Order: sequence, then C-alpha cells, then structure tokens
Amino acid sequence: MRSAADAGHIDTLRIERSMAGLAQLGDWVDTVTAALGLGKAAEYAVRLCVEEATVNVVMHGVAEGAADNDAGFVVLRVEPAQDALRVTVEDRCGAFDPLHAPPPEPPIDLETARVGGLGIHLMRQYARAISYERAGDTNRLTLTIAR
Amino acid sequence: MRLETEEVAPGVTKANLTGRLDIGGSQEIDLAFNVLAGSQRALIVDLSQVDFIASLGLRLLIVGARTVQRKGGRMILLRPPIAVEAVLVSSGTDNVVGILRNLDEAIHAVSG
Repeated sequence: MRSAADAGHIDTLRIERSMAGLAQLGDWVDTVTAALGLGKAAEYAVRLCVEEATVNVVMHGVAEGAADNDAGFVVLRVEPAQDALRVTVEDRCGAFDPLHAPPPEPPIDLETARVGGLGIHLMRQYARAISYERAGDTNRLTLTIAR
Repeated sequence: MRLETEEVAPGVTKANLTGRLDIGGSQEIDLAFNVLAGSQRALIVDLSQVDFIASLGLRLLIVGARTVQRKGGRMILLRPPIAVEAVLVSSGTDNVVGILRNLDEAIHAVSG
C-alpha cells in the first residue's frame, strides 16, 4: 500500500495545517469523488469524514519538533478498496488517538449544548470502520466508507 | 455559500441558505449569520438548498439559535434535505433546535 504521504496523485492532497489548508478540502473532495464516480451517499460520507478528521488535526494537533517542517502539514488520500473506499489522514504532530475521545452527551437544551466534540461521533456514523495507528512519528487515521 | 433574508410575516425573518455548510461555507457566512441572529427575535433558517452540513455548520446553527433564545426569541430550521437532517438528528441538534417542514408552522412557532 502506498503511503498517504506519497503525494502527487489526484487522490492525494497535502495541505497546510491551517484554516487556509482546510479551505482546499471542498474542491479536492469534489474532484476525487467525481473521478471515482461516487453516488451521493458515498460522496457525503467522504466529505464529512475528510472534513472532520482534518479539522481535528488542525485544531488539536500539536507540533512536537520545531525542526520538523512536516508537522505543519496534513496528507489525505482516498482510494478504492474492494467494495468500499479507504480514506487515510496522516499528520506528524504529537501522538493523538481521536478514537479515545468519549462519546458526546446528547444536548438537552440550547444553553448547555456543546458546540464541539461532534467530529468523531459523526465520523463513526458515516464510516464502516475507523482505525488509528502511530507509525513512527506519524498519526494515521484510516476510515473505511461504503461506496 | 449564500445567505439571503426575507420577511415572511411581520417581525419574522427567513434566512435562505444555499450551498454547502462545510468549513468554507460556514466561514463565508459566519459573520453575517451571527449579526442576523443577534438582531432577530423570530428567525427561520431555510435549509432546503443546503446539500451538506458537518460539525462546523452545526456549531453555526447552535450558536445562532442560542443567541436568538437569549433575547427571548426563537430560531427554527425549515425543510432540511434528508442527508442534512440525518446529521442534525445524529448529532442531537434536533433536540435543541426545532425542525419543521411547513413555513406556516415555522412562522407560528417563532412568533409565539
């Protein structure tokens, strides 16, 4: 399997870990889902999972080594995998397993409703499987999505 | 992402959103939507032309509804497409912001 860090293909995107980087996601998902000929449901799931996973890295990732320029980037990849799609999101921030986050409590009123922490919960609804691994200095989140 | 407003009854504003409430779309209308929520007591947010929402879009809607409520008003979501409604329900947003499919009912709900 090619690493997601192997950029340069239409199915792979390397963005800055910044709001400017996040702004590139929408057009890229348009391109990659069109190239794969995905239906509306799979396209929605890919868009949601790519967005939530990347927002997590941009908002919560902490660069550990100041000398490591790659810590400032996120590398995304979408590829077919049998009857499904595999979405991979890699970063080189400090080890962070988002799957350990506790499930959010359903909001009971507007005043106390949390406005964050829903990303992982939503990804779990839209992905058939999610796994996390720390590979060397890389966080790798892999999502399997029905196509 | 487009945000347009119209008065659908005396004192009742309908915000018509068009596009994707993804990161980019949410950012594009964030300021205008906050200003709108801060200036209305009866607000209907028409989602019928919104084809995507994720957590940043949910945040926008919840913060807006809270702003309206703090002034003693009410915000209602109108006619979300099925895919968008599924996210509203899955996140529990529908527990705290009402969703209606009929404009007259929405006008009645926010006018109370």
